[in-house]
Amino acid sequence: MAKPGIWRAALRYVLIIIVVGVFTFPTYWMVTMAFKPRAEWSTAAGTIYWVPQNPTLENFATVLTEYQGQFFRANQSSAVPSIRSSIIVSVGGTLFALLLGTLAAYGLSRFTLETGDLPWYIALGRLGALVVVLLPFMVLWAYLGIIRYWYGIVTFTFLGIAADQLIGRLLARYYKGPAGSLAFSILQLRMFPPMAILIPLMIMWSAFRLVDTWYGLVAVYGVVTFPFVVWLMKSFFDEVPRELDEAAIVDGSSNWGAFIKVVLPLVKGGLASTALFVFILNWSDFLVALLLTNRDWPTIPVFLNTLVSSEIGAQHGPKAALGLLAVIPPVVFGLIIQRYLVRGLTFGAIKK
Amino acid sequence: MASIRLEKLRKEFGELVAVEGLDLKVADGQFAALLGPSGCGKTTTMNMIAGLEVPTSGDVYFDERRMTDVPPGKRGVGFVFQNYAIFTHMSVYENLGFGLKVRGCPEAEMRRQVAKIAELLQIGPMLPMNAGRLSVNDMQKVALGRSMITNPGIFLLDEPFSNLDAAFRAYMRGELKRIQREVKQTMVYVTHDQIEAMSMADQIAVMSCGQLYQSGTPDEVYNRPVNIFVARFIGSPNMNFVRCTYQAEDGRGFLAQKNGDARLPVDDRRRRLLEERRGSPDLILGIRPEHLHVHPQETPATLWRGVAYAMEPLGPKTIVHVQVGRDVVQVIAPADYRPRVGEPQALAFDLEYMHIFDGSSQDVIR
Amino acid sequence: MNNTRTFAASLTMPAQVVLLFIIMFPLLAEVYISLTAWTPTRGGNWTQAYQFWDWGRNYLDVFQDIAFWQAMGRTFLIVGVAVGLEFVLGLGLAFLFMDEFPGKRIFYALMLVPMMIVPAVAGYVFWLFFQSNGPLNAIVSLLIRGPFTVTWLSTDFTAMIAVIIAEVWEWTPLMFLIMLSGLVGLPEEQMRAATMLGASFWQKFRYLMLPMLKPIIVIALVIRGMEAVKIFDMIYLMTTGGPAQATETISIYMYKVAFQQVRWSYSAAAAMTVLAIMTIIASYALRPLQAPAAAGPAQAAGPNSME
Repeated sequence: MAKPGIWRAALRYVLIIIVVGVFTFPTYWMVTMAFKPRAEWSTAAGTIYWVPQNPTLENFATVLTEYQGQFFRANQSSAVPSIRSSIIVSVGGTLFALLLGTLAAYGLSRFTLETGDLPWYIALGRLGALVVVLLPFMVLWAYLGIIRYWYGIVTFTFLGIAADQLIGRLLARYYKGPAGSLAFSILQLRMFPPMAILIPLMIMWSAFRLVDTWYGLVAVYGVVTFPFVVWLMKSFFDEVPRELDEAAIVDGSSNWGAFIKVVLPLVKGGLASTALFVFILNWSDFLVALLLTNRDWPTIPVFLNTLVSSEIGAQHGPKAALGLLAVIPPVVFGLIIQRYLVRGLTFGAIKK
Repeated sequence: MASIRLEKLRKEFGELVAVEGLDLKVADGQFAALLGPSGCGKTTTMNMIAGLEVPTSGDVYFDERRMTDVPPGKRGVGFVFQNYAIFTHMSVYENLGFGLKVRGCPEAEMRRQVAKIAELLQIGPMLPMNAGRLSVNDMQKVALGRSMITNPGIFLLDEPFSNLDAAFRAYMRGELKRIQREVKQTMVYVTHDQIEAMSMADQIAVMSCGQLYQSGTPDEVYNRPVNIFVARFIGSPNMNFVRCTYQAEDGRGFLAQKNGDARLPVDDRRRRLLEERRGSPDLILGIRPEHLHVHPQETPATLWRGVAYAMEPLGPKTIVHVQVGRDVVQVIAPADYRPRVGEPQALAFDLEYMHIFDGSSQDVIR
Repeated sequence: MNNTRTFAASLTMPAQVVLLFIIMFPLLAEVYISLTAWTPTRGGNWTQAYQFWDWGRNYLDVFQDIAFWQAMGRTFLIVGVAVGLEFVLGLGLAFLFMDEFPGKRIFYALMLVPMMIVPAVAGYVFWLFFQSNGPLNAIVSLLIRGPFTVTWLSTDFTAMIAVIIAEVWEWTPLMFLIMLSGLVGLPEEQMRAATMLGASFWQKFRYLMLPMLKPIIVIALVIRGMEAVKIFDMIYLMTTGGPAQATETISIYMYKVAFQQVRWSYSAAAAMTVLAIMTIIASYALRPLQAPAAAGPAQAAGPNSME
């Protein structure tokens, strides 16, 4: 058994090295480029430098300091504002999503039943009915000219909630089965191509003067990533036996008290992991930031894009340096929470 | 059908030695039991016979052909796992036929064989059902059938009935034994239940801590255990053990109880053995509860005197715990014998049934 | 018990309100706009778009727009090929990583890294990579000992390949993770039983592993497919849909229509069409997720939630 075993193991090892090597090479390339002095930037065959000969930090300096004219667009002095923006917006979005999502997840975990399949056409039909019902109202509101004001929007929103409840009740009367679920709606969110709602979102945001502000971006990030929070935290809450809640209540605590004092501390680890997971998602966003920011609050990916497209000469070094800075948080956080990555990215459907 | 020979099998898992110096022979058509407590290495040994584990050293022979390098699937061995391991995503039919399917057996032939096995095990109507939904008892039948269908020369079963309910377990034991006798199938059966081993096996191999202590017929391991472990493991309730030392007086030998005053005369044969041996002066005397007789009054046959310490009425019989000196021995008494605690008791037994063990090496001194 | 009801409601209400607000409202506004012929250049605020009421002629235009359907086709092509590759690679890698070997943890961590690289940054890196005088061509030149100067990003066919490669690079780790967790969860005793019955590795794979992994595989493919359709970041940075429209996926198409051609109502109609198509496909495809996901009417919360 020993001899064929060794050959097999060796072959496997070689394969692993090759595959992992191939997958690591682009990252390696970016990392080394960030440390290469200008003289080594060439990527042409024959003059390429596989390993930096004279590693330097000047690329980082270029990208992080005030530097007019030669490298940056006139109205953007360094990458620092974009780094600041990315940090604030990602953290804010994460907190917002966590707040909304954890509450909803706890509700879903404790107060709903799993009753089997929800027919997909029912869920769709309900959505469609809602749109059809509300559309005339939208036009009416617009015609009346009130939709552009905050009270118009707020009243319309309440109208929407009411319509949704009505449809839900109607459906429950004629269709004996689960007629809809917050859980599934949340999942449906992920189906939308962002482009589909970004234009009206942009319009809405400019009406509220939220464009190119950090809070405007935080709001969108929060909503976009909140489904992940719900699914992740629900799976964590499900792991806490319901008896603990009940015991706390029997001991005289209120519902909120049970939640905050008993259950939450038990999912601290899950909460932290979810926070990191969502942070990575927010940090990595490009499209939303692209459309909703301009001069004041571009995030790192947006800034990187302007660099790439505005550049005439090949300034590989500084761009790679910025790229490297940009990927450090997600990579570090990702490795910290690697146990939960599968759970998060499959909406809790697969638990390792 | 094939014979099995294990030669100096040894298996290490890192620092841990799971099996050591194991020699065993199972004749063709024999039913052998590997008996021992959990963790004694019996399952590891079984896995080595099957090929699922590779021995660190030593060899496995089937019909004197060296099998140590042959991969598990090619040894012609049927294996029934403790947790059945049936394929829960397949039907019963597919489970039973799996062994044939992977050999490229044609469809019609497979159908025939599966029907035959299903008939034998009385699971015919379940063939189209999903195997994952069966009751535990039926799952075990499927596991058996699945291994049987390829007519393996050797059958290995790893505590196959330990998860079944008691009544069904007894039934399956009977069925298995019947099939084995009919087909003259060589079987190796792992269990920790000595009653099972005693009732089913032609040969019992008693193991503990990776070592094979004794291999023999049920009669042999019952009547002539080689050490205290085997003596204690076989038989229920367990054998009684009393510490004593040897005393010689007036040309006669006695065993004197250490924790009391009881004295037993020994016959000449034993006297000679005890005087000529080297070894620890500490001795342990063993006598089975079923070989002891208890009376409320002394008789000329009485060897020990004691008081009733406890009593377990078991219906068809009673177990009486008698305190002799500071030792307590168990005696099997008739169902209506119900002494009160504290009442004096007299014990008698046939000295032929007595075993003497070395106090430190734990081996027997005949 | 009322206390519990309001508690449950207050837990889920904020989320529902936010959802309704940020999803419903833009959605309805989008439908509204799509039914008109309004664009910002035509004047007026969007709320006055009713003045350009068109009864959905935009939708007709969308159906007849070749570029739109081509973009859809390209999107599905890229998604199909990329996700397929990711799956095969991920599964293969999972098999390689099943047992222990020296340095496993390091290789494992390295294997996870691509997934966590910001897609925009990855887009930039691959843009650099696929330059005609870039590292990739340099490597190939080394291997074939001759000049190799394919202009990856300027040729239709190769640009598509480059984009697919970038996508596969980024997301294979996810498939790898999922497949690995699936493989590790396979019941070991059943595998041993199959071995004892004489099954070869491929027989075990075909009759045991694949069927047992099927649920996980389906979930992985569906989720990955759903997310892949939205692909934007990397393509935008690598080719912006070019050369010409060779790598124009549906997201890029909509972006161009909205911001380069400034045809907002048309873009809204296109967006709605895509939304409808994707929602139908995805709802249908998400059925495997529903068994653990579906929730019935809330018991304690009563009918005052979105149930």
